[in-house]
Amino acid sequence: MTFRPIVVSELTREYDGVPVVDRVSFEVSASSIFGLIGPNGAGKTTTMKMLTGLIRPTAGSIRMLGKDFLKHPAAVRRSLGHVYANMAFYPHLSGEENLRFFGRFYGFSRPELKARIEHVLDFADLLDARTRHVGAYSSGMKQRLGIAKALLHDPEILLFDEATNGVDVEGTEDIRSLMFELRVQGKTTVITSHRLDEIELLCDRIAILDKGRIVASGGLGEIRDALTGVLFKYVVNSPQPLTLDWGDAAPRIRYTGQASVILSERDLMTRLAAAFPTDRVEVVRPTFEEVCLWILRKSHEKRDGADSTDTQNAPLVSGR
Amino acid sequence: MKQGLRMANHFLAKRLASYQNLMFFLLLLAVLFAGIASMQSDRIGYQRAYAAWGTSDWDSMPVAVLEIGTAHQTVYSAVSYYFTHSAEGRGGGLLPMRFVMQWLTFILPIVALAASFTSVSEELESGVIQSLFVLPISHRFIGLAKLFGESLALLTTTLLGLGTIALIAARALGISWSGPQLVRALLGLLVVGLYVTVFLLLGSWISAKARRSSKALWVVAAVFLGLFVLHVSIDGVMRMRASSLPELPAVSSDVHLYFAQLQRRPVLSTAEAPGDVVEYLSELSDYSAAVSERIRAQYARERWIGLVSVSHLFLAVEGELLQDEFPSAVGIVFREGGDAAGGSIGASLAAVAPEIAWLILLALALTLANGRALSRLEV
Repeated sequence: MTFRPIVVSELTREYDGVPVVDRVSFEVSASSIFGLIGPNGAGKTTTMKMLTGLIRPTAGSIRMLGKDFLKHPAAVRRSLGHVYANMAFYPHLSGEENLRFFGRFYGFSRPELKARIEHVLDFADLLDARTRHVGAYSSGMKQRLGIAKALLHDPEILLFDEATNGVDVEGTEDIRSLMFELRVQGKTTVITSHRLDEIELLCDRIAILDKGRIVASGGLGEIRDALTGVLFKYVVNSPQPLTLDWGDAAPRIRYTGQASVILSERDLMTRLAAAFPTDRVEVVRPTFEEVCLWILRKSHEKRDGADSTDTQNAPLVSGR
Repeated sequence: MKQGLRMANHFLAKRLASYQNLMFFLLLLAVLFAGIASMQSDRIGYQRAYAAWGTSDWDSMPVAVLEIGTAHQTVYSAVSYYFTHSAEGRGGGLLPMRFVMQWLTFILPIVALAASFTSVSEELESGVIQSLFVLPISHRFIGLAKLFGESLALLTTTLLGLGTIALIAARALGISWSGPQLVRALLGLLVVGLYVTVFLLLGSWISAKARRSSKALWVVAAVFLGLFVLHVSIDGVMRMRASSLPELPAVSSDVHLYFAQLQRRPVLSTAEAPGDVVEYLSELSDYSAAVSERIRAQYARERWIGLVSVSHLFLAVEGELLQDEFPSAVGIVFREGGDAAGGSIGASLAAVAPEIAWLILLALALTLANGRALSRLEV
């Protein structure tokens, strides 16, 4: 049986009796990157805070590296690195001093800590800014310092919660590069982001959250493949807007970008071929973003129309 | 434990280096200087008032000119002044502390609450708490270590302030603390420390519960106002019940004149004190002891007051520790062979032990409340 460093079962968090995270379960394989995505209010950050122990679950369990997190939080945190949006540090201390302060609690000897600080500052490309007060850092530098802090004790598990939020393009690119490097180093990582391009770029597997529930999960390819025969995308090379009478198919068609791109839940090839020359109609693979948006839309429709709670909680797409 | 000390050390250093701490230190020095300055100004005021009025007709001088009060207060002030100017080696003097304690009763809670009401909310608002709470230490431990470090910083500053003033007073006024007075002074400092700690813990607990600094500010302001109103109300009730105090001893013209003249003398010689002055002082000393005894008896009867009003508790303890200072001062200055404040240390300690125990209990209860609030704190 493959060892899963992170096993989350039926994780639930309620505020005033209202579930914000509702029976969320997933497993993360060793040395892989797992992405939690979803719109604002989907429960990504709440889930992440439960994974870091910043908030307690109302129900469910979290096992990390074989240990029950809720029973042994301190032991698990020793193997955990956390990077969150708009990382905060003590502004009156330099980057190096901040790292030294946080690093002291991981049981390093002085020479070890010094070497680790040197290493992570180098990794985060902050050696030149090490003596500068953090208050003078840019948001991108603070996030990179956050990554340095998260890596200080060489954790096996890394949690990135909207780590590129509020960071400019250049800073975002830097952070993504660091994430790539961590992936190469074999860290087990969970990322939350509303940036689907980021998730697509970095993650091996994902879970799509909506209103606190997982509505789809699996590998990126698996999720796409699961929609084969369900979701179609056509590119129609027409300079004119599509003004055809689509009849009962009309509500299922989504236009994205230019009017010449059509997404549909049914095969419209015959009708499109009848309306346009065949060489002007092309069937293409929906993008990851389009797949996610479709899944979320279907989730909303299902939730609005469903009565049974069990039906609501069943994922639309589920990989192995 | 080692990690807790590291954490506490960080917050101790952070708080000690903060501008709030510097402000508090300066405020404390200002208050204590003001206490000493007020004594000095009393003396100067007396000198000027008597000089302006003329010694020949001093008896008809209205008290209003002095702006101080009765002749007894004149005596008190004179004794206090000459006592603190008495030669070294004649024992010390905690008498000035009686003035200072009245001020500190409310200043210390204000400063302690001001120093601690952002203790947790500030970290929550800045977001640093997320970095702290993912460290491999329990949240309760982190919170208490932070609290310990910050409290220690404030206590260090408080004691440093009091110590600075004590040294200045010792050098400038020739006071030397030794023997029973030193022990009483240390006990007094312990009570000051406990009093400050109670309010620090209260402020920190409010901070953790309120989560936002603005909300915490309103709550601590309401708490302080409540404390003040309670204090004033209880004072009113106690005054009504304490209407049967003994009569003040009569002051003869000669005695009053003697004290008026004292104000202009650089050094007092006990040999100069006429017999009726010594007799008067003896009566006044007895009166002072009787009043103290009444107050103590009343407090002993109504000891519950200290349970509900921590400011009264503080004043009662400090009063108990300092109550012998006046008769002692009279003894040292006016009677050959006088000694430092009388009474055994054991008796003083026994008298204030329940109050000190209550303050410790309060501090422990608030520590537990803080630990509970911090362990349940969600970010």
